[in-house]
Amino acid sequence: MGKITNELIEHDYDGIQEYDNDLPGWWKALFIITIIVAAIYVPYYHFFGDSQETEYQKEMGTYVEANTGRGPFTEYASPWVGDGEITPALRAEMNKILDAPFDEQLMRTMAKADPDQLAKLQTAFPEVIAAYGAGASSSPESVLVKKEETPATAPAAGMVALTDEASLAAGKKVWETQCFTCHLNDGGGSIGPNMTDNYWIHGGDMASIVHIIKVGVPAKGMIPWEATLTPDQIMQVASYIEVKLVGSTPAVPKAPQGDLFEG
Amino acid sequence: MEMEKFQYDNKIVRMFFWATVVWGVTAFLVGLTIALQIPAPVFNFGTPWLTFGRLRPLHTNAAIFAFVGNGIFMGYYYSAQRLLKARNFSDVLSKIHFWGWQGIIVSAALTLPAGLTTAKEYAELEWPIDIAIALIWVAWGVNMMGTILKRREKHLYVAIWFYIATFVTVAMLHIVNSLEVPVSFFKSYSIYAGVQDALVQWWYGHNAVAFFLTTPYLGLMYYFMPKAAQRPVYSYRLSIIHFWSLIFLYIWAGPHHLLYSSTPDWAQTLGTVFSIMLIAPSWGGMLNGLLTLRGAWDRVRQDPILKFMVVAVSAYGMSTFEGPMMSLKNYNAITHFTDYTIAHVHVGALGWNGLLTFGILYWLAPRLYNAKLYSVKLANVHFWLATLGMIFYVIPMYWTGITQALLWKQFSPEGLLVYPNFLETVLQLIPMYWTRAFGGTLYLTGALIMVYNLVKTARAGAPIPDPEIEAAPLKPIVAEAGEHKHRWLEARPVHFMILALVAVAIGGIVEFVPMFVVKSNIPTISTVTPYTPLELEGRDIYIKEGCFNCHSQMIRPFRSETERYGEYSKAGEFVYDHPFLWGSKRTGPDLHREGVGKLKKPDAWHYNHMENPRSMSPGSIMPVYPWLLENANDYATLPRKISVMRKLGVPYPEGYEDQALYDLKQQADGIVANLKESGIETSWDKEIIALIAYLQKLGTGLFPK
Repeated sequence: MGKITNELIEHDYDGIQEYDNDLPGWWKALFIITIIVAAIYVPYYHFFGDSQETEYQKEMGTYVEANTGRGPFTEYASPWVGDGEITPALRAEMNKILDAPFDEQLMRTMAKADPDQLAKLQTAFPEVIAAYGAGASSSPESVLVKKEETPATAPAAGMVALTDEASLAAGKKVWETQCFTCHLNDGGGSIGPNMTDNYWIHGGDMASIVHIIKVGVPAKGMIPWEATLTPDQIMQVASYIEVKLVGSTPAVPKAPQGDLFEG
Repeated sequence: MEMEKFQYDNKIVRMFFWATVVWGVTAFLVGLTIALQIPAPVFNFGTPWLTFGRLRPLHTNAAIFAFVGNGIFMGYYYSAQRLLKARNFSDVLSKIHFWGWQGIIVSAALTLPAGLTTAKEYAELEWPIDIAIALIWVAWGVNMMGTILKRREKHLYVAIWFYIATFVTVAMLHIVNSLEVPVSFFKSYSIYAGVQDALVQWWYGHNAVAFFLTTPYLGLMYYFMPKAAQRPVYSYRLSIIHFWSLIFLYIWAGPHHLLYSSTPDWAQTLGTVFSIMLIAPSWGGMLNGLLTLRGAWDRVRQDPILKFMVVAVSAYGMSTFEGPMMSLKNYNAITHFTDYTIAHVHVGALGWNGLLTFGILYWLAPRLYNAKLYSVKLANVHFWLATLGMIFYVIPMYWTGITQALLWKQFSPEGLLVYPNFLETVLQLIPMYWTRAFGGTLYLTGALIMVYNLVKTARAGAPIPDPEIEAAPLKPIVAEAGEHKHRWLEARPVHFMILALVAVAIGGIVEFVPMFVVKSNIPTISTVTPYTPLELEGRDIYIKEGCFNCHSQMIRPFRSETERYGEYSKAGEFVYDHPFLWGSKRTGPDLHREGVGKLKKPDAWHYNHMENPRSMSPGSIMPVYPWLLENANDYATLPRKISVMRKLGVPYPEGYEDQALYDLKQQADGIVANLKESGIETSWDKEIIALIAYLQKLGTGLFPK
């Protein structure tokens, strides 16, 4: 507290009097401190700190610092997928190999802090580790090319539907919480096409169905589900379509669209 | 010296007194209604006039301008005459002020539910009402300055400083933010677009809080609190320092409403640092209030009026500390767009404004009606209902805000959003929304008890006649030797007003000039095109239905947002947006990428979803909009809309007015054909068609079709 003299100013307004006490010391200190904080804040965060965009790039692991090479495992970056480097699916696969499947563990391993784990990854994903684990020295192009070849994103021939009851039940759940709004619960189709008639616009083999669920057909309104459903869920719901819906009899079937699949 | 005889005008005080009471209850009632609409969409009653998107602005306008506004004028007319020892400058102006203000409120209550809105928060009223507000506000200002000039008290008391600052600043804010070009009597477009519109709007929005809800109420506090406590004000010099620092610093802080948005970094930095520096000036007011009670704390225990005031001032202290904390970018990243902000503003609205008003009403009633307060006990009951109501309101909303933000941001080990469906994060909050509505019910019940108490008090007494006062006339103002500099200023009201205007103008000028002049603040994006006529009309339906009250169009640069919605929003995408529609709260998901990428949905999805959102997303709390499917849109003003937009800088070619309707029909026919493929029969002129066109446009500026 400042000095409290309780001296009245000789003066009143409609009976209201005023003391002229000193300002409380802590209040003055608070005011000065906030001004100092502001004076430090501007240079520290604005002029020398990261811009909003840089912050975002660092969060995404796509930040490229001038002349220091690139890679998702710099001190700032996390192993999140950035501009098409390590996809969530690939990361999930890599996590499975590790003893403690968490991204922190993956990051430590990739940063070569844990040589035993790194050896495991090297055996399973020699190319990825060569690209990233060796200090991010290889050119980014090679990584991108590899990504194109990753089977996770392109339709692969010979994919087979899951038939175990647990998977089909899980697929049914996805169908009845997400897909039904456009294709109806019984698959008869409304906004989206009929899923029971074995006529397909984009191919009726398992791989094509999985592919369309993943990337969607945005122009026609089919949503890409890749970012919403896990790879397992996509597999399950595709299997549910193939095994349970195709050939069933919906209440009000929508007219067939596309070509009959004879596989 | 010869004494002059005059009378105070008490009648005008009584008129504003009852207006405050009536509009207060109205604002609480509308608030409770929209609080119920969130957990239970059935309370939208399936009618356009009562949907959340239209009632929410009615609630905020009623609370701010009707309840608090009348509260300001009630307290002003009572205190200013007495502090200046003069009757109001003009009784005619006082009456014009009163009836003009009530007329504005009634026109707001009629136009907002009708969907007539500019979409700018707390400035939703359309241009004819904006003009009326400016005129009535100036009428008050003239009346005030006139009274001050014919005063019989040499120096201006601190309450009057705050009234002067309120008048000049709100006039400036209102006029600058409301600049718009009319399309028709009920429709206009803001002259600003996108980022610039956002900056002007939140300069206004933030300072509406500062200069409508804060400074005038500090003025009231400085009069009614020492009166009720019968204690001298703690510190005159604290008044000086916190007054000037408060009004100077407050103006700069507007961009803290736009953190992590497409607003340039430098504006955000200013918003943050000026908010931090506001803590002490704000607390200066709280301290001068609370320390004035030294030696009167024993009476606080017995006197409900002092209880109301103490909790009000404490609530002011809490929310003015919390505001700067929410202006830190890392904290704002969590609280923004959530109910946390709703909790924050209600600490201020229910606590500071509400409770202080109640205290003043209880203090004034016996003095205006020459009768004892009907029941001190009921006033105590009201105090506890109001305080508990506030607690039951804000705690669940803080909880809700943090919970939802964490759900939005949660990633699975696979790197996927754990709650990819926005609705899942909403459904978790339903019990808390019911608790909030319970809190609101308590608060409203308390207010109704107050109405009963005040009516009984008035009935027991009779309006006191205007009191006869004697005072010496003001001597010519001359500087006195050794006079404190501020004393000098206090004797010169015109100098005072000009200095206050300069203090509040600086922040705005420094922020606006670079934003409007320096081109690099809004980098151009070549693929961003003006809205087609149909999209423009759809956008106006989006505005009319108040969709922006629940849906933002501002994807922040966070992984959790770009994963959910798509690429974050860029300043250059909004250059044709008169007005901007970024929103400030996400009761539903962001819509800025609704027309592209993984969020894009078929036309038929939107059609069914608007008819009944629960058919497409079960459990959704969105209201139904069946009338959009029925109502034909009136395209009579389309050519005028095109030419107004061109005047504002949107590059429609010369003569496009004649082409617009043809193009509109072409695009509409395409959507009708699309819908037909999905088995939906409709016609090109329905409102839903335009709205679908607009929703499908969203996001295409960055990702052309």
